[in-house]
Amino acid sequence: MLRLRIGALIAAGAIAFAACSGASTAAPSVAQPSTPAASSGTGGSTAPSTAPSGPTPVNGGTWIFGSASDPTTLDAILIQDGESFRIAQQIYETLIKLKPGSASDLLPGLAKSWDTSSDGLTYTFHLQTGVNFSDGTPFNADAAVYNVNRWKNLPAALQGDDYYDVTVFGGYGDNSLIKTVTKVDDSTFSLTLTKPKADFLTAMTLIPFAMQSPTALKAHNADLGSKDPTNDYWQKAPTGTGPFMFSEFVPGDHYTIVKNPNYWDTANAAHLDKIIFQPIADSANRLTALQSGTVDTIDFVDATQLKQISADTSLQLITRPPLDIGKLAFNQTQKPWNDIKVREAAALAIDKSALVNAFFPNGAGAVADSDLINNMPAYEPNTGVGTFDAAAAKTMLASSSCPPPCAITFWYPDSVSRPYMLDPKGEYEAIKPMLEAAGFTVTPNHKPWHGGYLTDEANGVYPLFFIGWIYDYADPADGPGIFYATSTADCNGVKETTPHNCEFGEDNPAVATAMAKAIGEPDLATRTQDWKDAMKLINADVPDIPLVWAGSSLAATTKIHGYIPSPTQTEYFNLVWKDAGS
Amino acid sequence: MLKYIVRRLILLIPILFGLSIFIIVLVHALPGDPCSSILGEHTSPDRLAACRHGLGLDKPLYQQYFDYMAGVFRGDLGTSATNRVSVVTSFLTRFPATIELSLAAMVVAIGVGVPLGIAAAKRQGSVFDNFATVASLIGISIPIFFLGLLLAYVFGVWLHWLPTLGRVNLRIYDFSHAGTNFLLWESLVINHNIPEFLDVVSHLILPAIALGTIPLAVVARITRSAVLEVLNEDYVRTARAKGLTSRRIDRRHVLRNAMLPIATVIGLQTGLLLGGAVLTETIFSWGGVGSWLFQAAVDKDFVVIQSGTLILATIFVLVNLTVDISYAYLNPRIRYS
Repeated sequence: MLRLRIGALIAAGAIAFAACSGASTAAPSVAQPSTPAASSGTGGSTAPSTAPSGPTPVNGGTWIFGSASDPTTLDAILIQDGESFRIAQQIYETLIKLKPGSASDLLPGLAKSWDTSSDGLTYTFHLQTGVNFSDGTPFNADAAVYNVNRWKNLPAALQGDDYYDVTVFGGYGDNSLIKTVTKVDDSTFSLTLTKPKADFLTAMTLIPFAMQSPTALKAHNADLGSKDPTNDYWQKAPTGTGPFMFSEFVPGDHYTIVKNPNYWDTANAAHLDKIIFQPIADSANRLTALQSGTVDTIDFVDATQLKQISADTSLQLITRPPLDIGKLAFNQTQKPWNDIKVREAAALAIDKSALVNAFFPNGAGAVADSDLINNMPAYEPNTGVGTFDAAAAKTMLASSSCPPPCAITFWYPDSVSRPYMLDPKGEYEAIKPMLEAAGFTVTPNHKPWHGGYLTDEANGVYPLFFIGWIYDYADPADGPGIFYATSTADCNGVKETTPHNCEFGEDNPAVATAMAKAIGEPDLATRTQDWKDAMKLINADVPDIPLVWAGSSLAATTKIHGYIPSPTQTEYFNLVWKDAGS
Repeated sequence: MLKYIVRRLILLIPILFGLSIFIIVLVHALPGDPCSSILGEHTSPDRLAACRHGLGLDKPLYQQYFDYMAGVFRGDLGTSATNRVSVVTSFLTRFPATIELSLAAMVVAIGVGVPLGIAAAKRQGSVFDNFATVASLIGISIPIFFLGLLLAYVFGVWLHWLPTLGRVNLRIYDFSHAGTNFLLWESLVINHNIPEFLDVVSHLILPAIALGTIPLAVVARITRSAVLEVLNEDYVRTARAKGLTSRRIDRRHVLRNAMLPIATVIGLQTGLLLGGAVLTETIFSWGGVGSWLFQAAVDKDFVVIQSGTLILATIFVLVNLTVDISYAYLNPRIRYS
């Protein structure tokens, strides 16, 4: 969810996606067979080769990647931003990994297979053998148990610096979803959860849950926290088992990784000798750097640059399939949005096609009709409200508790451009007349994205507002499961005692029950149906108006080959190679 | 002299105290905090509250200030909320890049500005003088971001003469002996590599011109007016009457006496450049203090903004003190007590 944070904020805009064709690719499925009884995933002794077909790859060379900023940490469990994800993905490995280009197909990683108990609580991982960290120490069950225990009992000095540990496991120590982790033998360990979590295996593909060398973590005092001057782990010695390993870091200038000569999975060893990540904050500067040959590849291409790049024969556009959703959301506890007819009237009033054509040109976005992307198995379109119909919107509003002129306040953020929301103010200005045509009287209001907007909307302050989501993996638990989660946290300082949803006021108990059932269901087919049922309930409440599905794009010189774009940006650079002598 | 220096250094303490209060009030007056940047969309109020508690942002502002100053007195200027690296470490890593760029910009400013100002003064009212005056006006007025982008486009993208991004060509520079981040010095003295040194120089040219243009214009204008003033002094006329050569008059009488305001403005401009290269560093992807502070402002990284500004303010005051001290050497009539 945070992965694009830095890049997307700095890049003047961003991002394109693989038009509708990308969205209609084969529905992803979890590769691991799943049954109500105990299940297991297998993958042979090593992960299958994921090398792309085509011309024979050339080994060697230096690849300069124009990123948006420096990484913010490379202690895997603390990583939360896109640039750190990108580098960590090359030097670390997870127990299970995503198939290149997929958001949900699982492949063996450092675990060659795994078993799931029938109650969905215990996972037994069978590890690859003969694997060493890049510092020469062995990766085995002891190392894996050390890492999992570190997630569960995150050192006090690091607590609060993490994001995904709390997001996936809910907390630390006794509050963690991880109940126990036990070594079975040198190449096997088991992990027991306190309650079933159906997306657990997919979540294990996230790079924060990568395996790090216990020896390096200890030697560089990683557990002492950032304030301890002796902790130089991520800046001097981040150590994993991946196809690349750390070389040097000059903050603000570059971060270099080099080929791991002792990589265990020889079939997937890196082609390149060296990768240098050069931070270039401005998207126009990144393109200039690419055109002048300073860098070989850039990320976060601005939507306005797509045509220019496509027309340049020395460049290639690499487009990620969409996995971001942009929407206009309501808070159902606030008037007039507590009346579903008013929400439906607003949904009918907005011409999404016009909006997407104007603000997501060149295939940078597609009209959305669900919080889920339409390539997810549980995708359930919101057909109840219907499509754009100005006359129907007017009639609906007239019959609501807020007949025209219905005064509303519309919040949009300043100082931000997200992949799903490239120009918030412009989008507001386009939507305003649509709402006014239906009988609303719109008063705009705005705040800087990091200047109070995000905190206010999280606290349920805004009645009508722009928001969106960048999925980490293609599972509804990582989308609606978070949007509509309830808790007893205080909303905007108001003391709450019963579970509720601050952000949207989506307090329908039937939704909470359906989502809890889906999140805890270990069987894939049943879980998919559970999520479809939950989405029907959610859609019926009209908690938001899904506007656009968006992705992002990179650009590279034509000398670069083998780059497989991923909707989750889980991209493996060991597959990339350059033309000889370039 | 020593007394004067000590007094100035003691005066630094209330200045920095006042500045620290001003900065912390200003920074906290801005809406938002680093937690929204850290946690992103769809976070829950309890996670926001936990984050704010972890960073001490839920305390009253005066308490946050005392906690911060207590850290400063212990030599702990804090840790970035975004990348968890200590402010001192980040500053020390990035400051050499800013020093190199600022000094290169001042070389441009002094190397062109002083001769331009002198020549204009000596040809007062001529076409050249008018040209220099207009050029100085343009130099002062031109926005850095516009000039920087223009230079990058013309000399980088269009003519392909000079690099437009970063400090070195990362394909050729050998960082294995690096450590100081003073790349000019490292390439020449440690790596003994002339092509590397020339590469570093070539990367410096465009940002130095972009950053040095305003100081150049200021230096040229001050030099012109200072030299004009001295040229009209009696002692210059006397020297001329004595039959001294023009070069000798310029060197011994005109420049020496005109140097005081020029040195002042050079010192001020150098101090400003050390902390004010935000736009240039951003345009040319220069990994210095300016781009670091810019990113901290975007992320609402309070501690980095506070401590970074305090460090730069200290440096600015010290640079000015150095300039004041240099007066005594430039003009023997000045005595500090």
